[in-house]
Amino acid sequence: MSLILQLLINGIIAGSIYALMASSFSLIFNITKFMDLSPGAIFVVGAFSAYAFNILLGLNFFLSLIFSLVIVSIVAILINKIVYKPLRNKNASNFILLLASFGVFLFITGIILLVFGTDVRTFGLPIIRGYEVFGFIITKIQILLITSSLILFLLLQLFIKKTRTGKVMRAVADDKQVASILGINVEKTMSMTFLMAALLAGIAGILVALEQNLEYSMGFMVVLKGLTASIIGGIGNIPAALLGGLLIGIIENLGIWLLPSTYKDVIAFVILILFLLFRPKGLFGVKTREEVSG
Amino acid sequence: MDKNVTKWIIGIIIIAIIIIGAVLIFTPEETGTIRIGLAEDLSGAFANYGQWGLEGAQLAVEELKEEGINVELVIEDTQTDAKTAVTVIHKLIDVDNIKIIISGSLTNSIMAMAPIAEEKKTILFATLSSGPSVTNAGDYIFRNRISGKFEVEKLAEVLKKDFNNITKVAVLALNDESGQSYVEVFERAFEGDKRNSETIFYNAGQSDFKTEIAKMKQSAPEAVILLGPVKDMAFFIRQATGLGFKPRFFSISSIQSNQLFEIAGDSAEGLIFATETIQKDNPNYLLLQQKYKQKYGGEPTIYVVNSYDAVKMLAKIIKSVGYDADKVKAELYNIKYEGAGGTMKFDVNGDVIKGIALKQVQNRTFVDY
Repeated sequence: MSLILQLLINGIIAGSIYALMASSFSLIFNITKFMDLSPGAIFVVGAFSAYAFNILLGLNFFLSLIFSLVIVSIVAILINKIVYKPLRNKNASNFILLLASFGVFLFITGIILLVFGTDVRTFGLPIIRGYEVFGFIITKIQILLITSSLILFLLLQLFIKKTRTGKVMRAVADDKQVASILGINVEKTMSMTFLMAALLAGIAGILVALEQNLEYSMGFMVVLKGLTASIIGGIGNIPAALLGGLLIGIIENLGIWLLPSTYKDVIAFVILILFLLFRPKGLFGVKTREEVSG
Repeated sequence: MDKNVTKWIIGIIIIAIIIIGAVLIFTPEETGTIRIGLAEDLSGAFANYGQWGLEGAQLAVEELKEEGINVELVIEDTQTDAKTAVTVIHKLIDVDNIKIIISGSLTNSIMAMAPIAEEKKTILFATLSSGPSVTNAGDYIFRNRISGKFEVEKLAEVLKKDFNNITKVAVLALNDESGQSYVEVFERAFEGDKRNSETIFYNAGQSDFKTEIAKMKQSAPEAVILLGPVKDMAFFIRQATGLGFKPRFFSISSIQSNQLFEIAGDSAEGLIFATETIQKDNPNYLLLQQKYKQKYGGEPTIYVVNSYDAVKMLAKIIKSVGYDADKVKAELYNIKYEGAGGTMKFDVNGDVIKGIALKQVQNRTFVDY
């Protein structure tokens, strides 16, 4: 029984990160209608900038956190301005934008590799035995990871539902042209969306760095799992991203209760394939206007 | 044909001839420079090993230059990926005309490159790969890292002899060719031992071991044999401590790096591992140690030492017998080279003959067991 509980909690820990990444992907998809892979790079930037401020420059952790979030915000806005905006102005297809985002991902990861090298780094936190609750063990950092993911998620929901900017974002997501006619600044809203998505991905990166480690390649798997989670939940649906993330985390961890642990990633991708085949809209995805009319 | 088109074609041909001529004129062989291919995992999951290989090779090139031997390393990144390794070896042999290649890539990549090296009669000299399968990879394949088979057998031996009180043993191994062959060797060497042993494989690039630890904890092993790269094993130890799992850890030479302490801290205390012997009072080692500390800081790992020795030894052989893979091969089978890693001799399979020692972690250092 304690094994199941431990695997379940491991699944929730992993799922919290997938959920944050899935929310980041979904936020951008809602507005731009293309699958932007750059949150994967922002995830790495968040982790490494927090490490640089905290460990290399010796700033206290909270200052480092704030500075690193400033960095990820700047990077995200620059990506939008330098890469995506010119492409949108040329009416580039979503496929071209996807390819461009892949290029951005590789470029930023390459810069991290150039600056920080291939070494694996850690925040050097003391290694302390976790708390034992109902037979499973959870460390302080893991509790921080789960609670901060949930708080962020709630804040995001509140922001989108209750604030004026959130409502504007929803209006732009619904129909850019109508929003523009109504006097909404679409480009500004897009920048705001990229910024919010970057904050989610950046914090996810910092949390993973605290819980595990940092290396330049840390964004690859998280992109795959985050995308899988957002597709399973229902692409573009932010609450569903949370469920998708948790579901993937829990299933892949519980799955290896019966299967060898090398199948962990396979389990996640088999679920993705099954969803793509039998429920491409995900658990809570809604049909687009074109599909309803067509 | 249009006169302008003809002019263009002639122009392009002339430019091509000039470029080819220039390349041939300035080719390093003409200037006495020895060209050695260096195929390292400079990116991907185990890029840290590639970096060590590169550092060792570059230190060797600098030293050789001081001795009047000019070596040019033609460096390629095998990206911790066997498919890329195949492309790399084709490029080194077919495009760069390299006949001697040193590689610090993992066993998977070495085994993927070996048939090509054999077919093209090119020396492939492995400095990191310890997978038992490399032993029979071919006549042109050599290595100066000892086969992991001997290290794993040594571990099984010490478990049988000195740790009779341990009743359950678990094995954590990387899910690749070398990991699987280590496990086979361990199971063979451990055959007949009444203690339970359970094996868990993990995927390359994994840094989250919480689930493996949870599964392993169920059978409550008192000893865990760690058969994977240092980074992965250090994460496993770190996370195991956090999850209240503290068995006695055993491992092989791949664990011998300060990365173990940077990641696992004091949790690695007491770990016992088998490794090839390096005489730290050997003057060649002391020289390398001093130069390495000056240039890169820290202690050279065994992969730095192996790469350094490989470049120096091969450059000296080429200097003496010429840039001919068959002559170099014949020389390698007969050589007795004194390097930083001690005396290097090769058996009929091209495997280095070295002694095995047991070491343990004590106060964040590696000491004799």
